[in-house]
Amino acid sequence: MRARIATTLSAVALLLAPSCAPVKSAKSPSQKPPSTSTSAPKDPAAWRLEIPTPGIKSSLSFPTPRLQTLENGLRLYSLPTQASTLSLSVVIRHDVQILPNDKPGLAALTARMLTEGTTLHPDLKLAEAIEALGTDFAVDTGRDGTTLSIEALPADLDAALALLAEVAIKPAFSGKTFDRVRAQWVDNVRESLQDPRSLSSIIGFEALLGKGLGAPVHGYPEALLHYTVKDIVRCHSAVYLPGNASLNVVGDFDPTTLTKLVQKHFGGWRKQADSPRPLLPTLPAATGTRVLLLDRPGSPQSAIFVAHQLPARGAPGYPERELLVTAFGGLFTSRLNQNLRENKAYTYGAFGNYLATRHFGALAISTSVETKFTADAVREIVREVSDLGLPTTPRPLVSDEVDRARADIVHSLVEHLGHTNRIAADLVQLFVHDLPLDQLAKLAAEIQAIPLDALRHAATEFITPKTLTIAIVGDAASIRPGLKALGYPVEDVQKLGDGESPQTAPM
Amino acid sequence: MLVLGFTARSGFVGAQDGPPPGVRPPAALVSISAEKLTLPNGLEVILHQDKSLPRVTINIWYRVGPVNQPEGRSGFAHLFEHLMFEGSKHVGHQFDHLLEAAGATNVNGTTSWDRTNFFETVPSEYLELGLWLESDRMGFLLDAVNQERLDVQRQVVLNERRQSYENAPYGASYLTLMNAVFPVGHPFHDGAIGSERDVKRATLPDVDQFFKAFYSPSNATLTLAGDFDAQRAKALIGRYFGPLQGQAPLPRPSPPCSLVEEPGCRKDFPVRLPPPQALTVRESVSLPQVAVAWVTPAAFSDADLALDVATAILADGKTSRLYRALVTEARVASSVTAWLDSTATDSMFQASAVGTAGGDPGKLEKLLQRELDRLRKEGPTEVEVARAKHKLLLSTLSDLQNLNGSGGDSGRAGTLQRLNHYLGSPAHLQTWLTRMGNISSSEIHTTLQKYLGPEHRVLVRTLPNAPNQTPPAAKGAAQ
Repeated sequence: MRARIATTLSAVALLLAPSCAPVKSAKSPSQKPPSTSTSAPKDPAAWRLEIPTPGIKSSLSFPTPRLQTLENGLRLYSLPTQASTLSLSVVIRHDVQILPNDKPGLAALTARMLTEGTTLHPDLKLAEAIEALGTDFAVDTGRDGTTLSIEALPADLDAALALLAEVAIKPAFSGKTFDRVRAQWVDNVRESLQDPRSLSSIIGFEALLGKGLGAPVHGYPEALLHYTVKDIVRCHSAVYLPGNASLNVVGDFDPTTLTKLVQKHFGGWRKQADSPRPLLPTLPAATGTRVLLLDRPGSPQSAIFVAHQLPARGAPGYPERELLVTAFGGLFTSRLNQNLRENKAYTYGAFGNYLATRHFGALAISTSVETKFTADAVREIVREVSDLGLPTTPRPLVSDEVDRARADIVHSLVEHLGHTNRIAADLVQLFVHDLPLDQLAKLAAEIQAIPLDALRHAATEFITPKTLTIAIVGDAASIRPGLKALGYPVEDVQKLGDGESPQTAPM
Repeated sequence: MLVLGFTARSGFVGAQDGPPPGVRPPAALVSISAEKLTLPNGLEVILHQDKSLPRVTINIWYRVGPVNQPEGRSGFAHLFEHLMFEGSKHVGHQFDHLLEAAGATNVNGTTSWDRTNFFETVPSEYLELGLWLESDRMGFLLDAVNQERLDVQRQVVLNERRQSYENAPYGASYLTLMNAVFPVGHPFHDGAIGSERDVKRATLPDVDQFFKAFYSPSNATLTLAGDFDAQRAKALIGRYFGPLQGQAPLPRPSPPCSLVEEPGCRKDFPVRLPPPQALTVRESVSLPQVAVAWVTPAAFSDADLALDVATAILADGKTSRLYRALVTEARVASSVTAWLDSTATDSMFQASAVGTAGGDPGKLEKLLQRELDRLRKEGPTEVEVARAKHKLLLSTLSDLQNLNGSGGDSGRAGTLQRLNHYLGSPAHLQTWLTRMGNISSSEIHTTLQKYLGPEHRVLVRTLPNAPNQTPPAAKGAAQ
């Protein structure tokens, strides 16, 4: 299979590695046929040289979900469709107050504990109840919130809502279970740290965002071992509140029945007291370009992660940034992948995404390159980013590449409508980022309307060359000389942010 | 148009005498309307209309894969798949550019053991563009492939191999397992990705021969799924694919008689069984892993369907056998998996467990084997079977919401292709699901006893390399 990026609006899933961004708009492909040799024998199939013209353009329409707010503050987003399965999710928006500097991973571990038993269904009884419906909980904690999702048959709406409410509102948090789950969680985190690509992104985000915001969402293994069930209970009490939450339901349901069932299962969720908004941590100022190197002796490839700060999701200019990054690195034909894969053959794929959270943003570039081409690949990535951001760039963005990005963003939004899970994921974004109900249509229109000049201006506004954070996990002895020759200071990484020793055993 | 309709046909229940307590049977099955036709040049065409969104999937399966590779050319079918994106005579080198400009999504190709597929989903108005692109590479690829493009894609594939196996946790262990299950001489040896040595050996004459042998309309099936006008689509398919030259049909998978009773169906599913082996691989990981595998019968055979249910019983959810025993109770594993890689000939059933930090890999191995042996000896309970089948039904219904799956072998287009490839017709969705619904615990028990015994079990244990030591070579690894 060829390397591809997924297109999804699900930005709550901002875990160790960034999720990539969405999409947009239709412009006819170039009508120029490929060049052919005039001396070649007559081609009986020469009629195939003509690129087919598109038919009548389809009108794009996006349904508007319904929003209801319960008395306790819980927001219910719903959208009925004809699908044969339902997608349901509870979203907890937890901001940064439970991702404090001294407890990275606490929100994710708390979420993991929710599905380990409730006061009504202790321990395995909960698993038996949900799996009897043919489904299971999916728990996803990102930098902006936690999503608990399930799929269900339409006939099981009542039972599914009941179990979803139970895990969100009435988790058992048994101490004995916690000991086991914490140990398992720590091992799961350790397992993810075995992957050089995950490691490079963790190191990169630590350096880019500083200790607080830059800590991995899943936490550091050694630190997690000291968390207690009291930490979990405190975290749950602080943020699992209806005013911090939304419920999303998509699929084949009767709206009146849904409203009644939601009131039945979620209406008793206690209302929270108003609490002051937390102070946001300060992001480290971007200085010069840095190279951070973690040695993994014998690696046949180097995992490279390059990041650059961008404004948060809610800052003005979001559509421009989305379009900019998608054009630069979001597509197979983006200049980044074309250069590193199709022209230089350094890699299986090189992609860039806009990680847009409530409190920060980043251009995040990931690739794995053959060890001997590590410095060459870094040089090319730096050149590509610099060429994007320089006011006097020799290679400004051109309309063809921008229009491909528009088409991708807009049509991926349309494709989301083809599955209840993808629609539900978009509803999550409405809540997490305080977006209007017509957000999909609005974003599609905005992306289509951005003039090329405005996008070029945005590139110089948002991208500052020579302020890149470059994290590399690879065979240090082989790649260090080349990296030094590029002229950047190379900082050796011995430990992750919290004193954790990463796995560096030889290959 | 009705896309997914609940039918009143047989229920999806576990046992003849009703569901066990606590597990309610799903109510209904699903159907997908589809029309199949064959062009004079042999190209099969499957049309499934769904006008709910203005998009259409174009999904083509070629009946070729690693099983067809010449000796010493492991990985070639996959390398060839990459070359299919490198341009064709009339399109030039702009396949991806044109599709992305049109707003195409899920544009990709994949290589499996006995088939290679290519697919894209485009806005409805670009159906003709997609058919033009696919027909040009089906008919005129060789005019555009040259040494430079072969060299670039060879390097890209070797980087794919590094990223997915050599530099990925447990990747080397997986290749070791696969090569023990499919030893030297087996067409699956070295995997779909191939060995580095063989990938480097591929030549332009190899490309020429492979294309002429296998990339013919008579060896392919084109599926359209989504928003299109059937008459116009047929006319366009005739225009673009009709003139392409077919050839004598190549052999194709025969359906199992238990599902499709027709001339040429198969009753026997011989497999090439490997000798029992236990291998150790050291990797740059911190957690040990144990993986066990067996060769099992072909896709959609009775045994294959029973083993599919068994994977869910073993490792799907917290109630599953391996999760309960190894993760929750003994706490020797941090995660468990079980899966079935089904092909037209030899399939592979695998179960694995990742250990804990500082845990005893020997105990992990012992308990994994104990649970597998226990299920094989005792068989699953009625509750386990009903629960597993309910999960399979819900996941199938969910998957069929998609016009196409991310690997081109799921979603509606991919499922129709899979049914057509292995069973000969896209109309067998009901047949398959009904059969799945009727699988009994005793049938699963019998299948496990027959195929998952110790006499042909291959086991690979992965142990962490000690930091800063010279890595020892894999013991007994086939590579």
